[in-house]
Amino acid sequence: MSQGLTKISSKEIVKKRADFLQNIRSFFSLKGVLEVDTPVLLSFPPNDANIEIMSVETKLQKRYLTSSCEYLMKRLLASGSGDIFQLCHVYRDNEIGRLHSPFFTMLEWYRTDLCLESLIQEVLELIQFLGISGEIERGSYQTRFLKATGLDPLNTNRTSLIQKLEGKIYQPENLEFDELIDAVFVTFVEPTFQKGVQIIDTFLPHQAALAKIRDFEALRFEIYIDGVEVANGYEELNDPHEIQSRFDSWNQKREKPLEVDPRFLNSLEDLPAVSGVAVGVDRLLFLKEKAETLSSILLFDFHSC
Amino acid sequence: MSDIGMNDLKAGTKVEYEGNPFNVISNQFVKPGKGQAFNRVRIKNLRNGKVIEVTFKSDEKIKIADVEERSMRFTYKDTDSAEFMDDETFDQVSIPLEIIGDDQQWLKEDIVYEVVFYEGNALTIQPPTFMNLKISETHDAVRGDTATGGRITKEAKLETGAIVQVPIFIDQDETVKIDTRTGEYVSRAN
Repeated sequence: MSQGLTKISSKEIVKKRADFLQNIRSFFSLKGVLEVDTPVLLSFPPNDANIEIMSVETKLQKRYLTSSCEYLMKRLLASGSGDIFQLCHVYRDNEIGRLHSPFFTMLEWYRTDLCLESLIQEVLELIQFLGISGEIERGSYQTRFLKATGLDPLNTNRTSLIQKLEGKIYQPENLEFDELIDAVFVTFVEPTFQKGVQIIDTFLPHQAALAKIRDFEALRFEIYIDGVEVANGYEELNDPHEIQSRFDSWNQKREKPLEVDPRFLNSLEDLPAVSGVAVGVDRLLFLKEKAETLSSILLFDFHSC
Repeated sequence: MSDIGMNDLKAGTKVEYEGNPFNVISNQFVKPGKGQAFNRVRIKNLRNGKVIEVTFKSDEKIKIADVEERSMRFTYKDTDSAEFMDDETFDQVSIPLEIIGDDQQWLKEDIVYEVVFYEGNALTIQPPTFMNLKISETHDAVRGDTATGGRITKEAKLETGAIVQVPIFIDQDETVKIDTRTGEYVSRAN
């Protein structure tokens, strides 16, 4: 484990990170997007099917550490803020590895009246602005899955997926259908993203998270650069009933259902048509610096602070 | 033995998988966007050395294997077993020759080996990386001796029974330093 400051000299990292954050702010300043800074302590836990939330005991009340700043940013949008961006620290329990840290810096921004495609173009513009490039390839989740595996994720069954994973995954027969899809994806599809800028421009309906669904496609995109997932964006769902029913379905998989902040649900009535995206800032810097591990470009990693 | 969570697996952790003991080589956390988290683990079978890659759901647990490594001195060889002694406890252990396998060619009395035990039974023995061994049999250089790595070598049988290639200037009864991982001659022993 690294002790104190990480490998690339600490002085270099301080400068590189400072310049990187400055460049991100310049980009949005040129676009006329306002910077916001929302609190990291929340009174209701964020509800995301596969993200474990950390909590904090305070002398006042129990609070939850934010895993993404989307709820509060959407409340600002609903109150009429207009286009906004944020560089925030987010926290996710039990995620640690070469490309994961239980806390990281996330860049999240929202553009009103922008469709998903225009937002994809803006992400590519930012990446270039930050000095990261690569050949662009794109396609939907369905076509990329089909191409890499020969299986159509919308027209397959458990048996075919289990067969595909035999010997690769521990006891695939114990996995749920969605988990089998994810397992095939990480085993066969993700490895085809090793080079360049790879865009998945729509997702399967069950992977919509908080994105709109149109014609059996989730209006959600992801961008991988040299095999590293860096961006996740949605054409934002603003139907409170639909959002409530998605939260309910994620809660069904939990031992204890998570209570949703009613102020967030109420604000959705006023949420304008908007597309939003979250980008891993540390991962972008990691790619730009061609670093060995994510830890090596953090000022302090989980074990050193 | 207790269970261990996927994120606690480190290189060197000994785990049980499908009834066999394995050594963890690497453990990579993978998680697609909003999807299920997995750990891609490379493990080496401690019985046969075979390396495999298995992906586990991150909330899965795996059994820690009851594996113990002890330094033990080889005392003597019987018809179908080799006897070892623990220098500290004076425990004596008899290990079947079929378990020692090819490493029988590196068994020399009074040398300390690393013995790996699984559930109390010996699994493998590991000879020292470098051993000084006496040549029990070789011939004078002749035409037809093979050239390896730019020098001409000849076959020599060591006191432990191993057959190795040595430079042609090495004579019978000389002691040579051998790399037991590859069976290659390193130098004359001092």
